[in-house]
Amino acid sequence: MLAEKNGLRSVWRSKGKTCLFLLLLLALTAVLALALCIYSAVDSYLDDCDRYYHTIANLEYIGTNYPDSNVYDEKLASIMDAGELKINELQSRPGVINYQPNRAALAVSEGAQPPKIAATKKDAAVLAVSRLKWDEGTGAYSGIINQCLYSYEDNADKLVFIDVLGQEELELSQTQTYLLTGTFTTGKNGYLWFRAEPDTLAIDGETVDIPACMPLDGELTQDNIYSRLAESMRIRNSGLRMQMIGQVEDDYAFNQEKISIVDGRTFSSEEVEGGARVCLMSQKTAETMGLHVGDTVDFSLYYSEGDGIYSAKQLCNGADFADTYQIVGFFSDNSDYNGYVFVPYSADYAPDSHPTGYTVGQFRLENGQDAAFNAAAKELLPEGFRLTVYDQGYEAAATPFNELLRIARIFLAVCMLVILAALCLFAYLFVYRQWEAAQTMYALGAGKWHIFRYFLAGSGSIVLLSAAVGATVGGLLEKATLQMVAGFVERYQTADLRYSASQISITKNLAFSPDTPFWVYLLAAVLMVLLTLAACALFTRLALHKQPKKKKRKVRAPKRMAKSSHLSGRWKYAVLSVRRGGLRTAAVLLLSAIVAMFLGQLASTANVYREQLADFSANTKIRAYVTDVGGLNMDNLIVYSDTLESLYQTGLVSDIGVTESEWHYRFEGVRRDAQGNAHEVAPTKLPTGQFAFETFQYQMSLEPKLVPTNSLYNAPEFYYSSPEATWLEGYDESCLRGDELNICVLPESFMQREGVELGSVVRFYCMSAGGLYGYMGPMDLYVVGSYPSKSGSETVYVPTLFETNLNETSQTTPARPLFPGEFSPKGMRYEDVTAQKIELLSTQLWENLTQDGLICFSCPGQTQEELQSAFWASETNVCVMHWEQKAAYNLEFGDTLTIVNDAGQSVESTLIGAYGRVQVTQDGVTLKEMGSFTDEIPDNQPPEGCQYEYDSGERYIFCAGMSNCYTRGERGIADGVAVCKSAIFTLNDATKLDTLRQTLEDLDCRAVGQQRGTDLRAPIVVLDDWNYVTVTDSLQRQITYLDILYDCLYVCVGILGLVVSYLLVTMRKKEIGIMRSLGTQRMQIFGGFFAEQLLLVLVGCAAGLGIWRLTGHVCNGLCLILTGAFALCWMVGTAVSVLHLLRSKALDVLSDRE
Amino acid sequence: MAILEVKDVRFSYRTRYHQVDALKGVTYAFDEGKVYALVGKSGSGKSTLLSLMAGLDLPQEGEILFEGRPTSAMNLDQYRREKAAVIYQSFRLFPALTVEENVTYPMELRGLGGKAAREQARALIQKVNLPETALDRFPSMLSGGEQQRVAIARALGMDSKLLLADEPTGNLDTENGNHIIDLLVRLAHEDGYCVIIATHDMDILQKMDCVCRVQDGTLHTVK
Repeated sequence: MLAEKNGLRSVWRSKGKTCLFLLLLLALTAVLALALCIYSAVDSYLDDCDRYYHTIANLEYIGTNYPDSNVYDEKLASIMDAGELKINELQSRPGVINYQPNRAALAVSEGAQPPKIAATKKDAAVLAVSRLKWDEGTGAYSGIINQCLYSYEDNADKLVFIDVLGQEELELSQTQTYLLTGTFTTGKNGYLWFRAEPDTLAIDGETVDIPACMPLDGELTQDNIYSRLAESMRIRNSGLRMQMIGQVEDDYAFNQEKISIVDGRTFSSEEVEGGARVCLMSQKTAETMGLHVGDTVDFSLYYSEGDGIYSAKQLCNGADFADTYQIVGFFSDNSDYNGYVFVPYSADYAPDSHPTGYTVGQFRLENGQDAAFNAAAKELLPEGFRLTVYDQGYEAAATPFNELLRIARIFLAVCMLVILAALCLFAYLFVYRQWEAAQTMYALGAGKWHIFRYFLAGSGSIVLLSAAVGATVGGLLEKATLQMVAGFVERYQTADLRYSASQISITKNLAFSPDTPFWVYLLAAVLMVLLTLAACALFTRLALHKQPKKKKRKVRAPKRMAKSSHLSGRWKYAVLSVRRGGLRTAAVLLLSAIVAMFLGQLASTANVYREQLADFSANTKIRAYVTDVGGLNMDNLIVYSDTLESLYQTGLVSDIGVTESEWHYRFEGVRRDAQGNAHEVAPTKLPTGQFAFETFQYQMSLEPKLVPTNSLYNAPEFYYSSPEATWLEGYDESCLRGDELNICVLPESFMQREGVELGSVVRFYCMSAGGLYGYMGPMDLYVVGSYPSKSGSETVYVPTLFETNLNETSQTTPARPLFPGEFSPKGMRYEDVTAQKIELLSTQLWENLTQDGLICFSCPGQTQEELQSAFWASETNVCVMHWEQKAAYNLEFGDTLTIVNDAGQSVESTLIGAYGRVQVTQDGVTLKEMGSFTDEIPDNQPPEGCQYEYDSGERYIFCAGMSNCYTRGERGIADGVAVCKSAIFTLNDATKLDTLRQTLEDLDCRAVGQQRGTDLRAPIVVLDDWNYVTVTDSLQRQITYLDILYDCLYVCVGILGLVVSYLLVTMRKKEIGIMRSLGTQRMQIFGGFFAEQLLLVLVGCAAGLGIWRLTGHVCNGLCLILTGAFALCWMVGTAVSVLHLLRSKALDVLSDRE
Repeated sequence: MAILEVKDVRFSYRTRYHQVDALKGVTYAFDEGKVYALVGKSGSGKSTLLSLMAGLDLPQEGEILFEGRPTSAMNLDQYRREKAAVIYQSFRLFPALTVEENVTYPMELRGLGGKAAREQARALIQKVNLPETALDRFPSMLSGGEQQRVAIARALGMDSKLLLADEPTGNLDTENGNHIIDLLVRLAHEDGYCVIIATHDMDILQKMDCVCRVQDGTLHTVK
């Protein structure tokens, strides 16, 4: 106990020192405790985040009918069958926890009728109808429904009007009963309207065609194919979609809170892993079916193979699986999911491997791995697929805390280093400085262990007290510290992610409410005690081994004899000292050179990431698109073009691609082939009856789409693929934004099938998607491009001016000028025709005008075909004008007209023909009306007693090849169309991304999931900035870290210069002492040392920079500034050191007194 | 007239805890052409007295007069540069300078440079019995005795008649020590220097003209 008693006694007797040590160790313990507290709180919060947030990635195919979840897309199925979609590779990417394919079956509970909303095809029916009679007015048969073999609602004994598609030639007998399959449609009156269509059934693996209508002879049996079809329809409409999932939070609907559990519970892990027969059901559906949580329900499952679960084709063959399921929970009401039943995956099921709908599956990702996975997935996904990540707001919540955790780690590491250094200092002062005492004790026979106990008792008493108090102080400061942490998180400037594609997920909030456990403070205290004791033990050992006398250092003389400098005074001494400094000189030179090179390296890399960021931003284009409330759909939207105009006017965005109201087309034939040969095309025969016409419209609505767009590459079909379009010479994608109205881009598959070539003129029968209220009629389009269809649909793309064109050509007299106010004649060859109205019409109009038979053309020596060919093929501008006009101005064929528009642009046009409707009248009686082409009438005199009467009305000059004669002004994004169906635009300079975000906000545009603003028409916009944000975020983080690191390094280098130069000079205290003893003036001493060090550091730095430059690196301004700063620090250290020695008494310096 | 007079000089070292009175009123006069020895135990104050006479510090009380002028009225740097030449036990030569440069250093401080200084240095080297070849050597290449001779040559180069030596033979063997003492005595007797030697070496006292014992901060004449 003697050692301990003496140790404690020594502590007690040096109270001042002990107090200082106590304070030091107390402060260190408190800081360590708080560092551990912050680390623990942040780490704990991030763990909570990992449990609270679930990140999923939804894999979808953007097919023709996207986002319809009930359809079966054959193109998607073929891609999956071909193995182009590498799910396994995606699944093996780092960060993927699991993958849930979209697997579903049709589940029917016998005797239970789900709500109407769950039925997918409520209008389908199989009927037995009699007393059929043709009704001229409606263009359909009327009859009485004898029996509804299947109908969602019982319509037996009701009058029905029937249109039999595909069997128009069929003459139905009034006395015969017929079986019909088809769908009820909405009519214009209270009657039932039934559109009979052929169907198919797969019976025992064989496809059986079922005609739309078939006479019923005899009794209707259960084996009758119509009976079986009716049974299939019943099953389909009474079935629920049984969706097989894993954990509910991994499913998109639950993850994104489209639905949530409102009663009962979710699946347990055991149920999921074991594929238990439990289910989650819509509360609404359950109410309808009279079910409660805990009830059991029998489900018969129908799989489908290759047709989607809602195809009735295979349902007649009986259920594929049946079992009893226990309802464990109800989920909330959502019309999109009321027909769903969720069950855990089970190996017992064998549903179709092709999804119904466009969701292929869902990946469950580790939180925070979404960006990496997204980037990897982009490489692996075939065209047309889209991966959407939903992180529930994890990134926004966790990012500041992840940053904080990094800082806490660094802080903790720095704390530990500082603590170790401080403890070493403590041990040095407390133990090592008592080395003589230690050695005396040893010399007096005290054992080493005794000496250790002596020191450890003293230091231990100090550290135990200070650790206990320090940990308590840390605990008291916990609340304030964690408030500071919360404040940091609030102030943390996350990247601006408004409208970002990474933000379309719902955002959940997890509050930061840390509760630091007691063990954190205990750990800090124990750690401090152990480290202190360890340091003291180490220094005790060192003290025991300290040699009391230093060995005399042998000074080696310089090998080379140096001559005295011719300089004098301080410079002489400086130069001589430099030259003969040997290792000392070399060390300074080397250190300066290394530091200069190091600073060169820092300076050159300091801005690397900034430059990378600037380059990346400047060279990155960010696409943005308008979407729906869910952020999924990009087509069939309502996008007001004035909003797009406003956006365009800001000058921030370019390449605004829009599609306008869709049309449907039916190909009628090639009007003119690529070689210029005209062909007759049989016009589409329109039904006369009302119902028949509606049926025709219905059929037209099933035809492929014709989409007006100003950018092929920005059409929704190509959002996730890149079309490799082929263009007719002289045309490119910009032609869709050009002035030609009647051009089109066709899918290659269509062209191959129909034998259409680029340069042909094809005739489509077109119907606007508006149907009854839109335009229907033929349209000739010039084929200027083709593209390979990605989605399998055969969409025809036309310019946005298409509608304008249709309006013009659909009427004999144009309702309005093509480009109002854009073009008016200011001059022709004759001054007096300036008042005449001149219209520019494109070449197709020629044929329309000739077709309606009211106009004849004349040109001496030319047939109509020749004239038309000349018109078509004209490389120079040619025109045709009204005959009366030609006569009035005494023009001849071949004359050239100069036509000038408002902008002062002029075009030369050669008159090659004339037109006009001419009547031969006699005494006011029309004898003959001539409207066909002739070269005789106008040149001949009218028959005697007769006269020609030309038609009245406006006079036009029809010009070919004049589209280049004017400049289109501000046409607007959508060419006057108020509402677009889709819109996409590009930000060319990503550095202006934040400005764009602000602009979108100013325009009241909404982000996905955002509440509606003041402008109800404002679109929902998504910026496809995932990659950009990921890269810039990473770079920005690097920049921030580097800024901190480099600033620290700069300071360290500066301190290094100060300290090393200070020490180097201090080491030469003896020299200064001699000088002072010899009476050298202080300024001379200062000057000599300063000059010497200046010389050395400058030469060293210059050498370092020289080597740096010679090795191909760049010495930028920052490098020079930093090197200069280092040299300055060096000289400051030198100056301080020398001045310090000069300020001391000469005797002190000479006697080397501390 | 005495070249250096010490009048009632007092000097104390103060620490936080106590005060040590190194000199408690020392009075003495030193003449040219004589060799003085200051002897005494360690801590008696002889080195302090020598330092004050060398102008490394000023007395806290009393005064030191050089040729009648108190050192407190002088620029101490200048005093050390021009009036008081000191020889130390550890030689205190510039290791980076050659012997010639070490010797010419004080001359250059006085403004005497170039050839004249070098010639004078050569003469001084000869005077202290060093070969001329030593001129281009560095101190580290010389023996202890040679280094001390260089130190004496450097002191002589200061062109002062006051030569202070603090244990000049402390780091030397007996033979070299005797040579150095002989040299200093010769300088005093032949060239008229006032040589004041602080020493422990009792063997050299017989060669001294005057011997003063410093004891408990006071000075007593022994011889």
